Amino acid sequence: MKPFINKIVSNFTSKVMLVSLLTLISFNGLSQKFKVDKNTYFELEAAVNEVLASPVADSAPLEMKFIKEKLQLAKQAKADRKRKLEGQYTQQIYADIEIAKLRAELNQLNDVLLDKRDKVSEAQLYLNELQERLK
Amino acid sequence: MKTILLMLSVAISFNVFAAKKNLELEALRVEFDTFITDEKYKPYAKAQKAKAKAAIEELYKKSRRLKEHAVYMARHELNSAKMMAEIEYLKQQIISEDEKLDALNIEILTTDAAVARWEADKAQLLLSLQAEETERERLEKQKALELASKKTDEAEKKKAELEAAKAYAKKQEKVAALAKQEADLAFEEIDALRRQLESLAARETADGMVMTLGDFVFDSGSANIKQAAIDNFHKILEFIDGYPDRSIRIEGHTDSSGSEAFNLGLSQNRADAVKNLLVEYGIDALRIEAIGMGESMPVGDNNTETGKAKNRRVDIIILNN
Repeated sequence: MKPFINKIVSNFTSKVMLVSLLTLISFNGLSQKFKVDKNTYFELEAAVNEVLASPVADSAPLEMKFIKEKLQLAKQAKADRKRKLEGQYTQQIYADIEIAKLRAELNQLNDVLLDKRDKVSEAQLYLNELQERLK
Repeated sequence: MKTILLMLSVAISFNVFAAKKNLELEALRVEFDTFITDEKYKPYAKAQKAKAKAAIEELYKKSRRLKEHAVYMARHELNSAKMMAEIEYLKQQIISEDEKLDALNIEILTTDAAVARWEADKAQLLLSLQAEETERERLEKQKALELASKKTDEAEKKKAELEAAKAYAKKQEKVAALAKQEADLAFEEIDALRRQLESLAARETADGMVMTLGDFVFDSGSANIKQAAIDNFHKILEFIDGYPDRSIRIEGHTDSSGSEAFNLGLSQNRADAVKNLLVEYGIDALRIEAIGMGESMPVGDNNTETGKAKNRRVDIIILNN
């Protein structure tokens, strides 16, 4: 009985290990790894500064706050030589920059739309006034 | 035994992580489902939606503990999809508002033109009204001037009429004064005539009793006996009535002025006039003889006015039988 149990346990353990291994491989294979080198942070910092200097900074202040905080974390990860963490922060910051830009565009479009609606409203009022004069 | 415990702990750990994984995934999935079923965003950001969907499905496939970074990135894809959809929606809204604005602007232009036309018409009408008003005022002024001129003319006319009336009244006053004067003279004359007639006195001659009527009884150069003389003839009648049985001869005489024939005719006419008057007063015509003597029997000097006046006379002679 014991050898049978051992065999079963051994087989079960082997399977679990195998599945775990495959899962790990799968995770590693599917997740896109961000390649980090010695210039990665500086490039990132330059990209952040560029955005900070652009109108996006004014249009998406909250996003910029998070980006700046996360840049500090990336800097710390680089200092700690935690390449993986640095890579994740770098990837997230680039994603955040994209979001900030989208937010800025969104805000700008919202302003444009509001302005258009104001113009439409004004035009409608003016038209009503003209039509009133014709009565 | 250790192996079994290890396996159990691994299994428990997997369960705990799986639960957490499920919660996070479920939240993402619900958020994604809500987003893609939203009618407002359905037509937009299709590629990004697919990307977000793939990222979330990828998380489901992972059997290992879900890493925070992977979830963050999946949420990033979802947020990107949402924002892109919102951006596309806003762009569409802006296009729609632009179209609306264009349509309104066209309508405004049309209406503005109509208003401008209306205002131009109104201004034209106003100008016409003002012109009419000006013309009316001019006509009224002209009328007033004409009226004033007419009144002035009338006043002048009235003044002239008044002056004429005054002049006429003055003239009439003079005429009245003259008439009064004439009347006074006539009265005086009548009175004088009456007094002369009353003062007539008869004288005895060879032919009989003679009463002489001066030429004052007649109108000048005529055989017409003055009315006043007729009215005061009673003295003569009384004289005649004193001798009812005697015949009467009436002799007319003139001065020497004028032709003899004329004087003869005049004396005859005057004698006839006296005869006729006596007949009218009831004296029998058969008793009376009227003779015109002309200038043949003067009693005064014909060279003087006094003499001539004496010569112009009618003698009523009550003949001696």
